[in-house]
Amino acid sequence: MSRGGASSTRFGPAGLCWKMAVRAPLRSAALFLPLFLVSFLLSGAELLQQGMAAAADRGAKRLGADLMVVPAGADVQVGMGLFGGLPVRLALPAGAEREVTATPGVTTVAPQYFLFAAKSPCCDTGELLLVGFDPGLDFTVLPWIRGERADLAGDRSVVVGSAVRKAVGAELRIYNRTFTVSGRLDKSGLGYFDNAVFIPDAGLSAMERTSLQGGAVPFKLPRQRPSLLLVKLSPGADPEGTASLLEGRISGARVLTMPQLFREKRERVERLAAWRTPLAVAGWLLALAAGVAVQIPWWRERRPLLGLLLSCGIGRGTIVRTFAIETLLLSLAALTAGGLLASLVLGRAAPLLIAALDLPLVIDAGALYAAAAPRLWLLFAGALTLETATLYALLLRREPAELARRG
Amino acid sequence: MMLVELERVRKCHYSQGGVITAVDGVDLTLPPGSFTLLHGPSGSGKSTLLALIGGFALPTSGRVTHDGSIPGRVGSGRSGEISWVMQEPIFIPELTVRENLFLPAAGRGGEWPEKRGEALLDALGLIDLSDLYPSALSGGEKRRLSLARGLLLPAALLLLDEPLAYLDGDWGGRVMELVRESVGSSMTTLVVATHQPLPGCERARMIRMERGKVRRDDDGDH
Repeated sequence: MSRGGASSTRFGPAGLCWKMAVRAPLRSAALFLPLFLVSFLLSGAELLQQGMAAAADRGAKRLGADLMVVPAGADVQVGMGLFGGLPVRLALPAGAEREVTATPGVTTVAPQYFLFAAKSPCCDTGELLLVGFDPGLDFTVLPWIRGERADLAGDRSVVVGSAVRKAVGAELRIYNRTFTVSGRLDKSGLGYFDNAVFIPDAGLSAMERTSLQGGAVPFKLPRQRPSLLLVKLSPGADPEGTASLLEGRISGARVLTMPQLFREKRERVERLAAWRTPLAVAGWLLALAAGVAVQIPWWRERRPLLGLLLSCGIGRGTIVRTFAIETLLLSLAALTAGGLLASLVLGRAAPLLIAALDLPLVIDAGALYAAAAPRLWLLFAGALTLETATLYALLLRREPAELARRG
Repeated sequence: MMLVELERVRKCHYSQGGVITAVDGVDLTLPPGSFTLLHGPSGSGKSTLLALIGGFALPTSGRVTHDGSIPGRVGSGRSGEISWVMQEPIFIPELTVRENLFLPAAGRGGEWPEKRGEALLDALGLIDLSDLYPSALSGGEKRRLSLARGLLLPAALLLLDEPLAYLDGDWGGRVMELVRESVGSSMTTLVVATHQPLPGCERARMIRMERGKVRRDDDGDH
């Protein structure tokens, strides 16, 4: 009997709603996009704030020191090297290491040298932060090697940060010296740990020799002038008091306690956190306003359809419920998509942000979803759903004949 | 079938220009299975009375009963047994012709009226248009689709508002024949509002309306 097309497929109110949503993409998009945007911004801000706080905590733990001695007046370079992981040149005054070691309360002093690979055929790493360290004194690098303890004996082993794309066993040529990656560090969110290549003392000496061969850029380690000293104190020692004492004794050096080192970063986290609530409220209001702005004109124009649905025997409760569920699903989809995109973008951009903004940053989307995001999303989607249900309930208070009348 | 009774029914519309009394003190009894024609000039209150009879509008005063009881809110109780073909056809633009036809079945369980729908599409010359969207239809085709939707499910009360508007050629006679066939076997109470004579309806009860009042009630051989 049917000449014109396929036979009809059974559909109920939910199917009707689905067809309307899919076949009116502009309306669906007008509801979806503001929520997607709000979710993207809020999730992004939340991820940044959580990521910075987590990275600051992790960074302090990872350094494992009570004090850090750095050159005075080199705050910018220290920030770039430590937080951004950028190649910087830092040098403490000669004799600083000896002074610190001789100070009462100091138990361990680990010198580190911030160097960088040359932009030359002798280095296949390009410009990269190199950190020279003494495995005998170290308490910052070795404890954080991922997996089994690496064998750093000999003068060909290096350890790389989590963002350096070299697997264990891979070779790296630096200043004409071919090293083997013996270990990779856990991700920290600090550029210094994530972006650098850590070379033990023996390797540095070997590199000095090979750099003089084959037309390489000569490399000379400033042995008496390390870039920074990581200092451990005996239990009960006062870090702030010791820091003041050391600053008095070593001219040209600045001595930072760990809270001081991360203070500015923590302040940035707090500033960002202070924006979170107003941002969430603004986002929430924007989403509600967008819902109203989209739904009211749409249904004002199409009010007769509600009269039609009622006259077709579809109950008021069914209509309210159906379109409220549509809003809930559409909102949740938009919020989830916005959140996922934020974590994807920030995850990809984290190394750039770390380097460009000297930010300690660890993007942990899993933690975000396990904690705040679902609650926030349900709150948003719930508010919009309630708004939609109220709107429909108000419209459906009218008589079907009145709704069906045009104009 | 359904007995419909109206007692001193009055319906006012409120607007910025004042109060318009669309239906004014109408007393009417529509026996089960009866066929009634409401006729009169435009603005005489036919459409409003039709909506009041079906419970799609509530009286400002007076009482409408279906089988002796006041109808519940539309979308509940027996409202599913009332079919209303509105004066201005309304369709959901995102649904095809076929989907718009089956809309009354979407809110109910039970068997999907596939065969009935196909037969109506065929009888009303819409079968070849069934996968199009309503915006592609002419005025007459929209009217026929609206009538097909009204006739899709068996109804205890069928209300047709200007069923022949926009219909040309011999469609008027074919549509009324289809309506009579549809209601004949099920003892449906049929009420038609029209301002023009309808073919084959000479034996219907004729009620003439003017300015919201019943001016003449020829209680015909219905």
